[in-house]
This record gives sequence, structure tokens and C-alpha cells, in this order.
Amino acid sequence: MQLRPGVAMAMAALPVAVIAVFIFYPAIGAVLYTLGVKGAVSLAFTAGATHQVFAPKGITLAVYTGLLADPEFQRDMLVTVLVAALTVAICLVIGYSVATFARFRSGPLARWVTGLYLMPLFIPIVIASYALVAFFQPGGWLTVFMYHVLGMKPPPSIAFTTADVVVGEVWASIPFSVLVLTSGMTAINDDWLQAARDMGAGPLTLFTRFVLPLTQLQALIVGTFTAIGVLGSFTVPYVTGPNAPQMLGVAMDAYYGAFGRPQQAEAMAVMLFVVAAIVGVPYVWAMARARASARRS
Amino acid sequence: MRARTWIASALSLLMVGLAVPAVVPATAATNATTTINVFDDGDTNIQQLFLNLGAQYHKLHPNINVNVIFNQHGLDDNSIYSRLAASAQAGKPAPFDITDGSFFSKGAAAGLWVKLGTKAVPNLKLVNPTLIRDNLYMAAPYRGSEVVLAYNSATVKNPPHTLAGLVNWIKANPGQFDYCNPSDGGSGDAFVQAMLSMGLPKATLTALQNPNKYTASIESAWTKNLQNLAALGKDIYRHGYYPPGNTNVLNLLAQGAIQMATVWSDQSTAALKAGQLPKTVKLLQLKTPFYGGAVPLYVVKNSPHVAAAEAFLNWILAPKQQLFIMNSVSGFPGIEWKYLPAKARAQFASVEAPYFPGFAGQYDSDLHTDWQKVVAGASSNG
Repeated sequence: MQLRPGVAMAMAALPVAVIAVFIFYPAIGAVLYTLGVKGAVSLAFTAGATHQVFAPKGITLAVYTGLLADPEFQRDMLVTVLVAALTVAICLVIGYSVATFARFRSGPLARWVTGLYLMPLFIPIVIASYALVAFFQPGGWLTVFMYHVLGMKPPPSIAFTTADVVVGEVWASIPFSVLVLTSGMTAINDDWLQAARDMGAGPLTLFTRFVLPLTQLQALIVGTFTAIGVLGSFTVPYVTGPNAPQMLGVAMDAYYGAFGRPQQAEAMAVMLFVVAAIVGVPYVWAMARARASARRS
Repeated sequence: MRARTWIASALSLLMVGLAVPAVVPATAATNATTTINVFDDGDTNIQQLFLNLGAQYHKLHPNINVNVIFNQHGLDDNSIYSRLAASAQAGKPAPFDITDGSFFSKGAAAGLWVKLGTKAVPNLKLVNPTLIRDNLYMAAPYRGSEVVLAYNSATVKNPPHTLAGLVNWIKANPGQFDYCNPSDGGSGDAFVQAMLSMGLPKATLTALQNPNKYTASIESAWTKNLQNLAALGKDIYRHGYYPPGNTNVLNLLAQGAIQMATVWSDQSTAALKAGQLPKTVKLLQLKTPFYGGAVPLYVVKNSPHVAAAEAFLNWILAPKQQLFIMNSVSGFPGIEWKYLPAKARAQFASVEAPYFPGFAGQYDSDLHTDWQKVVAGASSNG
């Protein structure tokens, strides 16, 4: 059913207006604040803030250059991006394993395994973070196991390290990747795979020449949304992570509140947004291409 | 035809519905019920405290309702403060009238709170005048707690009583002491402030405690102490892991992972009472006490019920209510100890001490930043 252009515009007008007023307008004000424009945000909001930089006229990049020159910020940004990349890689590996297993070995076992990997969806992330700490910390289950069963004295513990953060982020991101990849697998036609097998293709060839290319878009979706989610995450690094280096979500919260430097916190947010936007580019390009080819065919 | 009757009846119902509120205020005006909105951002025990105080106050003054707005652990504090500041800027009535929220110094800098005087709040005379002056005459402490040293008396036979003694104990017992991230909890903040204040001249300390003047350059006085604190990190639990919050440190103490920690007196006493800490854990205060958090209670300037809020605040400062508060939350009084009944005073003799003011808001913020850079960065985890 085709809508008249006027009706379609009217239907879209309300959500666009909501986004424009409640997201774009304050976001533009915040960006101007980070560029040193006085009065871009309410003065009562910034009362008591320290280390603010305002330009006498126009804009200044001093806040950004200051942050970029700060070795702590550089380290935090690096760790944030690394954790996101690692999480995406591990999620894709595990996601493809589960999805491929479920696709080619249908049955109760496959359903159980898939269901198990969807469990993290139902467990609040705060509880999961504390559970991870209790599991990994010295005196927790893992170290007691390593001490008594494996005889490691003293047993190492990854609690309160960046490794623990990666484990937590993977744990939280697995369900999404399993869901999307299993749904992508259903689009692969059994006949093609049968034909390829008849021609003598082994499992590895099937995977690399058929499964991977046919689920490209799904892998891209998993990668993009997992990465963007991990880039801005707070709870897992806050509870399970080290004091330094911090992920940017925790650092931004500290700068905004405990450090009394909202201008720097907002500048960090802008830079993180730029990184996330760059991460989103392949996805947007792929979606546009998919839509264009669908329109053509 | 049917559609039209539907619309007609709907419209008439709407008219009636709109007319009702026009009638109701007339009846409400004759009752003159005032509702005081109290905003609190602490833990659930403080929420319960205000609910109890509100119920008691309502019994005494049936025409006044006390409504408690609660935001646990101050998670939404930033947005709530922004809303309040916006209402003040727009000249609209504030969303709450009286609060003990953690954004006192921010709002004081922006002029959002009422200046309290002994005419409207006579019980201000019972409070230590230094504390009122430190709060820029805009707040009165209504309860308090001090940061104390908690230690496991089963494993620590001779606990230290001075800060220098504590540092020596930490070095002699690596991994057995911890304090929380100063940005996330006052118990860690107090320890860091005490360490940074070691050996500083009195004039510098007074300047750091002064909320009226912020000169970033005087912070260079604490650089050496900060580096010592960073070096001490290798003898801290897990070679320098500082948990994010007061409760996490109490958990470590309860699990036996550490034997000594800086904790809030009210939080740890309540935990001991509830059996969350082993009975062998004891509290002591150092010769030079860690800072006390005298929690300020203050009235919002653009509140629609300033006089009622001030009367409520005055009632809270009375010795009877102060005793009730102390027993409810295992805390210290906001008024001076000498105004409490002698029997109650005797109970707290071992920890009774005047509140030690901490660094003023902006210096404390810079302390958090410097600590993160120097001390957290030095830890060998990551």
C-alpha cells in the first residue's frame, strides 16, 4: 500500500521532531560547549566546574587538544577500542560456531545450546558483573579450583583487569550475535550446500566460500552494534575493571561527576561518538547497497 | 447517526471531566494542606529515616504531609540537579523543597539554596558554628558519620592509632589493607585526604578546606604525598586495586580478603548489627581523626514552601529527633554532642569527636583527578 507523500511526511514528522528537539538541539549545545562557546549550556549546570576553557570569540579547540595530549586519555581511548575489537572478534567466533552447529545439526541438542547462549539476555548486567567478580577474584571459584585441583600456588586471578572486562563484555554481547547469525543462516539454501557437497567441497570450503559470504550482512550487523555497545559501556568495566586504564564510559562519568570537569567529559563523549560513527560507516554503506540492489531487482 | 451520538457523549464527558478540577481546588483551599517534598540520594536506610521522620512530623502537624523523593546512590543526581537549576533559572517552583543531596556545593556556587538564620531556624544555635560557616550559612548538618579504621581483631592484635603507624602497618602486611576509589566513596576519599595532608602547614590545610576561594596552584603542596601514596600502592590489596565504592571494601573485609580498611562509622556499625561483618571486626578512630561527613540539610530557594521547609528542618535539629536519627542510622548527631542527654552521650564516648572538615568541593574534585592520574596509574594491574 502506497501512502500519499503528504501523509507519509506527516507520520514521520513527529518522531523526527522528538529527535530534533530532545537529541539534536541539546547535542549541538553540548558540542558548542566543548568548543568553548559561553552560554551554549546553562550556567547553573556548569557552576562549580573547574578547568573550563572558554573562547573570547568564536570557538577554541583547546579542550580537545588538551585531552588528546593527555597520556591517560590516549591510553583509555586505546584500551576502549581494543576491548571493543576483541569483544567483536570473540563474539563472531563464538556466534558463528553456535549458529553453524545449530544450522547443520538441528535437533534438541542444538536448541538447548542456542537457548543456553541466549541466557545472558535475561540476567541484569549489574548482577552479572558482580557474579563475574565473585567467580574470578582470589578466593572465588576459579582460583580455589586452580589451587586445589591444578595445584597452582598461588593461583593467578584475572579479576579487576582488562581481561575480566573483555570476558564480561563478551558475556553480555553473545546473545545478540547468536541471534543475528542464526537468523542469517536460515537464508542459506540447503540446495546450494548440497550441490557444493556433491562437487566435493569439504566443510571448511563450505564455511569459507558459502556460509561466510552469504552471512556478510549479518556479521556486519553483529560487529557494528557490538562494537558501538562496548565502546560506551559502563557497568562491566566499572565493577570488574582495573582502576587504570579505564574504559571511556567510566572515565567520562568520573570527569563529569567526581572530577568536576563536565567540559572535558563532554569532549570525550564527542570523540567517542566520532569513533562510533566511523564504526557505523561500513554498516550504513552495506545497508544502502543492499537496498539499492533490492530496488533494482 | 451512531457515530455522532458517540462523539457527542464523549465530548460531554470530557466537559464534565474538565469541570471537576475547577470545583475541587475550592474545597482543597479550605484544608490548606501543605506537602513538603524531601529529596534524598543516599542509601535505603536514609530513605527509611526520612519516611519515619515524615510520619512523625505529620502526626504533630496533621496539615503537613512530608513526601520523600528518593534516588538511590545519587545515580540520577546530575539530571535532577540540572532540572532544579533550570527551574530556578526559569523562575518556576522547584521540584522539591528540602534536601540532603550531594550537590550542595554546586548549588551553593550557583546561589540555589536559602541562607538560614536563627530567626527562622532557632535550633541552628545547637550546631557548631564552624560547620554552619563552612556551609556558607546555607545548610545545617542533621546527621553525620566519621570515617574510621576497621580492623579484624582476630588477626590484628595491635592496631595502629596514628596515620604514620597505619602506613608502617601496611608496609609490614602487604595486601591486607585496602581503601575504595576516592571518587566513588567517602571512606577512601577520607584516607587519601589524610595522606595528602601529612606534614602540610596549617595555613595550606585551612585554604584547602575553604569553600569560598579556589586557587588551583596551592594543590602543588600535596604532590610529594601523592607520590608516596602511589608508591604505597604495591602493598595495597592486589598490588593496588581500589574498589569502586564503600560497600565493596566492606565486602572484602567481610570475606577476609583484607584485615583492615577505612570505613564509614555508620555504615560499618549498621553492617555489624546486621551480621554482615564478622563480630571480630572492630572500629577505632586515629589520633588525628579522618574527616567526618556531617551531612548538610538545606532548603531550596525557589521552593514554594520555604517557611514550612525551614520549620521541618528546625524540628529535625531538636535533640529528641537527633537522638532518633542517631539510633536509626547508627550515626552521629548534627548538633553538638553537649546538647544530647548524658546517657546517650556515654554510649558513644569512644568515638565522640568533633567533625573534621574535609577539603572543599573543587579541591576534592582535583584530588580525585590527581589520584586517578598518579595513584591509579601506578598500580601494576590493567
